[in-house]
Amino acid sequence: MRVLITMMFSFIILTHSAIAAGKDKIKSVFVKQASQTEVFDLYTFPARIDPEVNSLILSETQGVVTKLPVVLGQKVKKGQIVAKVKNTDPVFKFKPVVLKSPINGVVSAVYFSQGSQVTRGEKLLLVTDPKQVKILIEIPSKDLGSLKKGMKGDLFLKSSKKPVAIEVVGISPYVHPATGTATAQIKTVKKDHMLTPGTLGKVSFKSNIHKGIMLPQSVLTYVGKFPHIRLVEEKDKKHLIKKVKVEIGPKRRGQVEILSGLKKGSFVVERSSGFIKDGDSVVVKNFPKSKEEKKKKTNKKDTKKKKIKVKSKKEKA
Amino acid sequence: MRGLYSSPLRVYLILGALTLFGLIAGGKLPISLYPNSNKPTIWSSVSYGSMNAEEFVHNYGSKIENSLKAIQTDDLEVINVTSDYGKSNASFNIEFQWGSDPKSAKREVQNLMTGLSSAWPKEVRDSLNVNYWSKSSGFIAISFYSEKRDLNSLFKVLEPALVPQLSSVNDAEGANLWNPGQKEITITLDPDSMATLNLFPRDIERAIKSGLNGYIGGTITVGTNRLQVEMPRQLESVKKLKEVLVPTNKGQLIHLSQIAHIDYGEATDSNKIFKTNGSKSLILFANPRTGGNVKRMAEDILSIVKKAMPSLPKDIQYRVLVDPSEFIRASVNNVIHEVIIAAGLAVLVLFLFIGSFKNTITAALEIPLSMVLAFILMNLFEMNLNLISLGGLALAAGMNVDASVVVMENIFRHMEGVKGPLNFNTRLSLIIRAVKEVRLPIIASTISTLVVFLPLALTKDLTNAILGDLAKAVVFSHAFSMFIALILVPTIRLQIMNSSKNGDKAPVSPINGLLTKVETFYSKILRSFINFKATKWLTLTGIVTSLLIMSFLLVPKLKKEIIGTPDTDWMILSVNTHGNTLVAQMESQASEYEERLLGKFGKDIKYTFTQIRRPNQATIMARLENKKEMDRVWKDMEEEFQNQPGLYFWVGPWNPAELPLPDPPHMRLIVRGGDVEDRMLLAKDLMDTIREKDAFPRAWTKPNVHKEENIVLSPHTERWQALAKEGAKFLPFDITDLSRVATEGRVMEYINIGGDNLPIKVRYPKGTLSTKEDLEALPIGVGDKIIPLRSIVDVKLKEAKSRIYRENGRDLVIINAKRNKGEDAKIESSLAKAKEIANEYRSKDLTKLGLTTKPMFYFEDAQKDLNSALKQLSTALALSLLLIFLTMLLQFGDIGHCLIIMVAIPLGIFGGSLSLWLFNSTLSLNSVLGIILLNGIAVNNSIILVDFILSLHREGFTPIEAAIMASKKRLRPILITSLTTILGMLPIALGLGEGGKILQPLGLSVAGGLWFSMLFTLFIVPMLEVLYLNTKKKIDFKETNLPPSLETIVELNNTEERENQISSGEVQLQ
Repeated sequence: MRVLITMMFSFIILTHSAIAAGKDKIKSVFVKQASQTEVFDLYTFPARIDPEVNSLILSETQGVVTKLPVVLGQKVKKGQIVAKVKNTDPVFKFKPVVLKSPINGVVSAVYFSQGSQVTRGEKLLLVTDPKQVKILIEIPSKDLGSLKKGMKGDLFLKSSKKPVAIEVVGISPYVHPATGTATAQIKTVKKDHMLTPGTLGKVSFKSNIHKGIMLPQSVLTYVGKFPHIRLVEEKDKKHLIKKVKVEIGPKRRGQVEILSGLKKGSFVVERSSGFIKDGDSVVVKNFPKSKEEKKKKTNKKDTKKKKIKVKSKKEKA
Repeated sequence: MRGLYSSPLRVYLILGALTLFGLIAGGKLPISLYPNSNKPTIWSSVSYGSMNAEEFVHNYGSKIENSLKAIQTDDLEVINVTSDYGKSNASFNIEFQWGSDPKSAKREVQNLMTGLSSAWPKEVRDSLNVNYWSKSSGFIAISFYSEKRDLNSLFKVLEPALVPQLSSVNDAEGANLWNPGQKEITITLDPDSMATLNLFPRDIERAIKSGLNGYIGGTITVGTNRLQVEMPRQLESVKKLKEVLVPTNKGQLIHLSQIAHIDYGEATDSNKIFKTNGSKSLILFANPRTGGNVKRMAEDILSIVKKAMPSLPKDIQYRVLVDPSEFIRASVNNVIHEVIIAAGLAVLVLFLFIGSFKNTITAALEIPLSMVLAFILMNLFEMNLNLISLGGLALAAGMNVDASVVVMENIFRHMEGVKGPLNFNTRLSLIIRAVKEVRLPIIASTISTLVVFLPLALTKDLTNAILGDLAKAVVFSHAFSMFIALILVPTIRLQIMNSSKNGDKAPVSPINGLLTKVETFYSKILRSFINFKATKWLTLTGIVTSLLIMSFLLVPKLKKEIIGTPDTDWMILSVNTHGNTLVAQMESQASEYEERLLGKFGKDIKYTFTQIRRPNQATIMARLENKKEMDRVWKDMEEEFQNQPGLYFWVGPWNPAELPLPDPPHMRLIVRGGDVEDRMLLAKDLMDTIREKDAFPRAWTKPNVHKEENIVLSPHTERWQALAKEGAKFLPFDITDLSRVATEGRVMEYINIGGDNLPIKVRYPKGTLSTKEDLEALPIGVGDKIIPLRSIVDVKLKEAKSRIYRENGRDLVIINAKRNKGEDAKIESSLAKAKEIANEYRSKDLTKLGLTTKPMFYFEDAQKDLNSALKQLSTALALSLLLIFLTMLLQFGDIGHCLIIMVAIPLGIFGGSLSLWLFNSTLSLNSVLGIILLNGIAVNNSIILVDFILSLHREGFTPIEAAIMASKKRLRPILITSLTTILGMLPIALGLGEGGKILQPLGLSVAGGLWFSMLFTLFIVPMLEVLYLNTKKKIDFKETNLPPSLETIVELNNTEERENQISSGEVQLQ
């Protein structure tokens, strides 16, 4: 009886202790290696692409458009006749006035049709040279100090993924009181690039370029008012957490510049599976594999394959 | 009495009528999981428009809080007001006292807020919102499907058939049919064209709106006909939408399709998604409103669906995915089964002890009758049939037969004395005599059992909400059992005697031989037990050690809870992440885990039901094939779904309980005073310290103290006049509208196409804005110029203003912490550690954190509700002990006897706690109640025993002989009463089936405790009685010779003499 009771009790105690002994799960983290990259302020502006050479052909006299030998979209050469206007007033029995294109280009707008009555100075046609465009951007007054003539930048267009290299041709000294912006003209560095006049693009310039460490903002944790980051350090084949105080610079595009307190090459915790503290041992989920490790893995596979081959040979035998 | 017994028909008629009445009343009792008690919380919110949080608190917030806190009517009282002031709006949570009526609570808050709002600015007043706040996790979900129809056309058939009726379900809130095939029209604007043409989203909205209107151009009367001139709505198809004319700044009119893509298709960014077994499905979903009955809601909705089905096309079918009523019904039915088994076992015990079938039935009739009669009172008291009240009935089942047994036994005893056939009158007077003899003891013992419950009536809040029903059920049915025993049992007995021709004989128990053997064996053991010299010391040390073990080892080790939760076959896997902005993004993530769940646990899972209501959270529910596998699946799922960086899982069972049981944290640390920012910083640092030093694995704060950043736009308003001169028509407001359309998109209008009311959502191409810098460079057209947004608006990243959290008018930050499930034993040490850490923290140099002010911090009782509930129960326990003591004192007039009788109590408590510990059960309201109840029963056994010993002793027997004889005589009745109750509680103690775990602690503590106290009553009480009587005799004897002052000395020194006395008494008898 006594034996039975003691057995029962010990069993109960055992089950109780088994339930109570919960395991502490090892937390896992994603890390990011801090590396020195080019850090810069980026100034982005919407850009308007306008034709550089744009010729509006006006009627030089009052009368009727007698001839309109061009159609919309037609290429015209400099000096080519694009319209004839005859003055209907009998007092002025002149020959029809011949209007010629002053430039090489394409007819980009026709405002009247043949037979229309026009007055003097009325718009008849627009001839544009699509090959020659200018790019205009509006620079807010506060950014004016950062941009200079001759500065190089990139133009992003919807039509192509690759940016087009550009440079600032000139900046207007006049800040418009309504928009608070000064207009700047920009041109592409290489001339052969075709830009469609009338479309919009995006121009960006890098400024304040220097070397530095940029990390996602999510790496920051705060102790009081002071930013800290958590490093993963390898020690005795374990990955240990170390919290260090850092000095941060401006935040740009979701990233923050670490000014001091962090060595390049160290691994910084980006996200963790739970609360981690100094000295915790963690599993790094995205540790970049060193070359040796990669080799080892491939070797293992090879040996496995060999073994299988050996086996199959044996089987055959 | 004579009149009653002699005319059985009258008794039967009256009782029959009452029974019928009771059955009707029982049928009308609503069924729910928990008692019909409520602690309503009302939620109210306002948005403060132009003010910020601090200004609002100062101007209006604190006044609102004070007025809310002061709400008090005859039956309403506010106990807690918490308020959370966020970025742009404040929310107030108003908790009312237990038992308050939710509807009048809401009305009261609504009236108060409306009254206060007259002093607020109009925009704040218009945003006022008052509603119930519910924690209930019960809901119903029904999926509809058809092989012939797609989801959208299925919805078109079902919606008119179901949705109008759903609003008639009173217990439901937000019952609706969800259509995953919901179509929408998306207008994706081209940012460049918008800028070049100087357009803003509002211009598009205006253009669309004008097309959606129909116009009336007067009437023309032609003869007798009046003809109305009208221009109907132009927009009636997607194609027409493309042709909407948008006026540009330069006076041109362009087609919408020239500047936008217009798509018609399934809504991509719906705000909620329901899925079952991995695919979207048409689902009817409803939550209960606060105070609503989940079961009734589910049943009402199901009946609407069932009624509608015949009128719908036959290809449409439905499947009930989640039905809390089914679960509740199963739980309640299970307890009803347990009650029936309890009654059956009690009857079996009766039969074994009484013998005759007829007599067993006579006594057993008591069980169903008193239960049915209790229904009448339960109905009057507006109770419902729930696990708790049914538990009370099950408990009473075993106790109720006692009175009948005593009556019957006494009748038999009287019959034994008379020989030969009797005429009716003698029989009648025999029965009357027999009943009269036991009438007083029965009434007294019933009252003493009921007296135990009296203190429960003094408890309030949670305790009363939960246990009130149990106590009432026991009191009602037990009180009726007394009347039945005194009226019905003798009547039936008389009839049996009348009908039996050969003269009625006392029946013989079928296990009579065994019982006699047990009796002899027991008296032998008892005799040697009393005679054994060391007995006294052994007993004393035994009792003391068991009490010590109980209070220092057992009880602290027991897990504490308010009340157990019922078993379920639903598991929940909750997936939390961050970084998503759309519900659809979460859906694709969730389906990955749903697949993994079905892949790994496919064998255990019947089907899944997934709800996604937020971009960063999904709840996947899995119905298990077998609920017995719950623990294993739970553990395996926890193993399988482990937190990953940026991805957090929670695994646990689903429980649709309606009772708002508090689930408090284990630590509550208050940070007050100082500057708002400093308070937040300190709270965060203190919380991190507590976590770093491993005091608690989980900690969080209220409000959230993590740093948040916002993008703040501040327009250069000084420029607007000049801008307007340039032709710009937009206002600063249009800038935020633009950024909203460019980020999330905005539903501008609804258009009715082919009977569907489709939302028109206007947005910019996805990915237009992904960083703050993109927003800064967003093109804006002003005249011919295209300027970046930042030239007219300052765009800055700013730390968000801290939220303000207030409780009952105090500005504070709360650090909460909790240990994981199953680590209850560590709570106390964790709390002590946290306190130590906090004390150390006090000497920390706060300027190192950059703080300028000094907030203070202190701990508060986190588990106030639970502790006060248990405290109330302990008070009730102490009071009931006192009451028992007083009743006994009245009966015996001697403190010594009373104390001896009460020895059964600590033993019972020890037995109860031991069995709770052995079976890994909990110290809950139910188990403490069980122990209170146990006291009553245990004491009853002792009372009868001591009473018998005393009367034998008075008749001239020596104490030891009186004790042994009395014990032998009382063995059977004690066994009957104890065994009926123990066996009656057994099915509940085993906790089989659904809902079992709720009552299990009650069953365990009663069954285990009673078993213990019965065994010990049978031995220790007679032994102590002998000791006491001997001592008393001696004192009485010595009192005449010795001065009274020496009394005590003698009592201390005469142990040896007492021993001699006992042995000499024995010799005398031999």
